[in-house]
Amino acid sequence: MNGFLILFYFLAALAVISATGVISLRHPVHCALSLVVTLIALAGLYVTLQADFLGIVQVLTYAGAILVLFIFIIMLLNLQDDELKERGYGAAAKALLAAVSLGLFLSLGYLVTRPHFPISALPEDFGSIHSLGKALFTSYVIPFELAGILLTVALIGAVLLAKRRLELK
Amino acid sequence: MRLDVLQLWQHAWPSLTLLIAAMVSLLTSVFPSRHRARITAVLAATAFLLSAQGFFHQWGLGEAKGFEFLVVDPLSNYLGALIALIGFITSIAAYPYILSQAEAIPEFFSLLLFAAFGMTTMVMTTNLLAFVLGLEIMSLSLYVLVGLRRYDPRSGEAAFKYFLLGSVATAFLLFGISFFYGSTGTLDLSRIPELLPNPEMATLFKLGALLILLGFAFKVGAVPFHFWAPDVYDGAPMPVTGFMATGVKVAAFGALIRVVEAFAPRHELPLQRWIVMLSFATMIVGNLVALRQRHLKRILAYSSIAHAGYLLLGMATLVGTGEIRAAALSPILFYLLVYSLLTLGVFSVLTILSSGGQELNDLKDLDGLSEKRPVLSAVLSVFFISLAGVPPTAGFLAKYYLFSQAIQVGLYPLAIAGILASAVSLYYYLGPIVRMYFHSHEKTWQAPGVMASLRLLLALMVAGVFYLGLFPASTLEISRRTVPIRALEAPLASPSAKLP
Repeated sequence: MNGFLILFYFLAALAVISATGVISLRHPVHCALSLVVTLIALAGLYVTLQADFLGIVQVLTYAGAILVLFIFIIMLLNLQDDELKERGYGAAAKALLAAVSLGLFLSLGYLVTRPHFPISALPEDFGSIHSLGKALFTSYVIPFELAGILLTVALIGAVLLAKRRLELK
Repeated sequence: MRLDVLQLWQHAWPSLTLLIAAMVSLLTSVFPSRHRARITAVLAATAFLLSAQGFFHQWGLGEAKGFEFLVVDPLSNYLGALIALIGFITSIAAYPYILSQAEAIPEFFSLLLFAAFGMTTMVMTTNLLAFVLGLEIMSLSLYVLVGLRRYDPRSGEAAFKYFLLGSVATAFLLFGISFFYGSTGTLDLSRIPELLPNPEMATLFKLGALLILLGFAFKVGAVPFHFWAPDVYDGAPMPVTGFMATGVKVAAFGALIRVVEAFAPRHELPLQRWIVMLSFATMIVGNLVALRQRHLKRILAYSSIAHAGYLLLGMATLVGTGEIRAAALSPILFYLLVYSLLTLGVFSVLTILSSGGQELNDLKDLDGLSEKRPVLSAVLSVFFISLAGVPPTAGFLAKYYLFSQAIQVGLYPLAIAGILASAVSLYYYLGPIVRMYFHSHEKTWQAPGVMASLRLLLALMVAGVFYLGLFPASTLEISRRTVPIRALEAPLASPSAKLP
């Protein structure tokens, strides 16, 4: 077992554990911090899978920009302690839900790990900015442009829904 | 591979026209003007009409090859033309409605164009990556369109619900696509026939296909994934509801045709059984629950769920015929056309009635409408009766072709369930008509007069209902020729060859 493999399993375990924290912790800020750990662990996973650039982008956009946004929103909502009271499921229902999701997780894990995926040798500059940029702007240019349009629509929608209310007639 | 932009424009210009018009109509806000809504409306209607004409022209040219993420064939052009026409009718019908709103939003038309562009992208590809991007362009535009009446809490609630549940559906779809990619090594549906069956990957492949199908079931509102539809339809602005009920269905079923065709030759998938179950539940539940609704938009929501069930029945016959698709595909395409025409007709009239600034909602609001607006009531009645499938209207013939095809491939129980379910539907389609003609007038809402262009459009649509019902031959021929010629020449599959 080489060092990379150990690192990979460590990061994978970290991602799973912190992801559990995101949905089980009570305070939203703790959840958000837990999410940061998940996202950074994922970035590490990408790096161990030789997708360095993807890892860096993951840290920059998700762990950086998007999480800051989350924290800001939680701050603006200004939740009080009594609003954070736990409600909903009882202990039995919780145990059942946990069992179901654990079962789902394990069976999916079994399904995904069982077959031997045909893996071809990686090209030399796999995962580098150069090869990624080349792929994006040549063979994948249509999906790339579509993603750009998608982001434009999202931006327009956000502005439309959030802009200052006009005077009603 | 380098992309030849000129070649791309040559084949995809009808779709790109929508995109360009969407961008240009956004730019009109640079000039503050009282006429902004009018300018964007005219721009949108022109673009939709131009695009529809372009798709129809391309349809005549046949298949164009040479793009990895783009498919330009008669099927994509037929569906594209239909989507553009839906956009055209919606933009004309919505114009007075948008002006009447407390907060007139000219961006409505840009979002409509963006959504239509997303829809055309969905039907113009066999690559799942491009498909998902098109789907999300459509969905994001629709989330915003649903929430456009910002001062109305129901509109906001509907938008939020649609956003959350739509995201869950996309998650299903993406999960399925990742399994599909993992087990096949490709994202392109058209390459499935080349793949050798790999027993090691069989479970993963099956799971991927199932999750993709469930994602589609969500988007078309098939039971048991239909719960979002009534609430969202109810809260959305009237013209948006009409656009969703027709455009989304056409785009999603169009893409589903490609998925079903790709998966059908793989006999390890119990594809037909899955679709038969979905169709069965959707037809029964959609029609029965519609009987109990008191809100017009909820009735129409369940009606659209029921029609999704009939269309799924068509999909089941498409699997049954295997690779010979001409006979099974043309009833589906004809049904999509007729369903869109009728549903848009209903929603256009309801949009006119809601253009007084007050949203038409309860079934009671229609009481005694025939005294005040005799022509509109008559038009609305025609569309409702045709939706129920009464001859000699288009709705009858569309259902007839669909069900007779199902019987030909031997899906007897499903066809009988469909016929019974559509008999039940007569009750809730007649409800509004009874209200209009036999109840006394109480409400005093004011709806403005109807624009000349909208009058002309409605007259054409009513004429279309009877034209397609009495003289369907030429339109059916178009839907038949949307299938490649080689499929037409092949003999029909023997009826019970590939039943589950």
